[in-house]
Amino acid sequence: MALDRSRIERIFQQLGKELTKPTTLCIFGSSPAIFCGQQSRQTQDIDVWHANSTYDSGELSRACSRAGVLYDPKGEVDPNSIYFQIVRPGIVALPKRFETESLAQYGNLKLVMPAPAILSAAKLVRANENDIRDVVWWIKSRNIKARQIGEAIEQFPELNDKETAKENMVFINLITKEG
Amino acid sequence: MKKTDPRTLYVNALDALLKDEIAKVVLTRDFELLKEIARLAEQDAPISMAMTDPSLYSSWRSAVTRYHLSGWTEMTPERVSDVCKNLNE
Repeated sequence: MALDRSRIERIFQQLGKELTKPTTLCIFGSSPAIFCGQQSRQTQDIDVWHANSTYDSGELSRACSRAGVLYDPKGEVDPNSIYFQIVRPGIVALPKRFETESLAQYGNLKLVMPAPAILSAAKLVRANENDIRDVVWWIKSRNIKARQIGEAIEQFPELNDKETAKENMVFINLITKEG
Repeated sequence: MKKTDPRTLYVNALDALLKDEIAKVVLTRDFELLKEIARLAEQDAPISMAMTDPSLYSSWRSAVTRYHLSGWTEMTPERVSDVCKNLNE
């Protein structure tokens, strides 16, 4: 079972009911766009950027269990499962500090995401087909300028990531007026 | 920009548009094909096709709608040419 907008919203509503302590989850990857209404996009996982999140691991794990989703699985995952992936700097390297945007509040659960320009810049680092679709969607839905993505790229800590994202800015130039 | 024969280019571009494979083409940096995709999206399905090939007409129109809803509106043939030109300068 993959996540679409209604499913992801139900999960967060359920978590908000279950959590007794104030919790902030910074979601990134494809789930913020799905949450914000990107059509025909599905995913199996909800990526959570640990550094910008505040949560009690035990309580979040229990809440996930009650909501029917897996919490940070490390082994093989059933293709029908939905899971939260807690991500720390490593293969994925978001900027050390970045602007976040509030997405929603469900009870004790506050959902935030990196600013869309940061999300887009991160997607230019990997730049697979889905990433390109996601970036195009963000640019259209939030009227992001190429300049903003360029500035976001500069915030990334890894030189290789910056170089790759800059090379892939050509994709952005195809779809932004300021080209 | 490379030079593919017009018929092949048209067929490949329409195929990519109908199958929603624009991002895939973008990744290959095939600007000639991208420009043709953008042209077909901008032109939209020819009205005459509604009579001659209603199925393709319907699919083409749906693909153009999806093109815009997905955010590709600004990718016009002129934009593709400009980006390609800037890369070669």
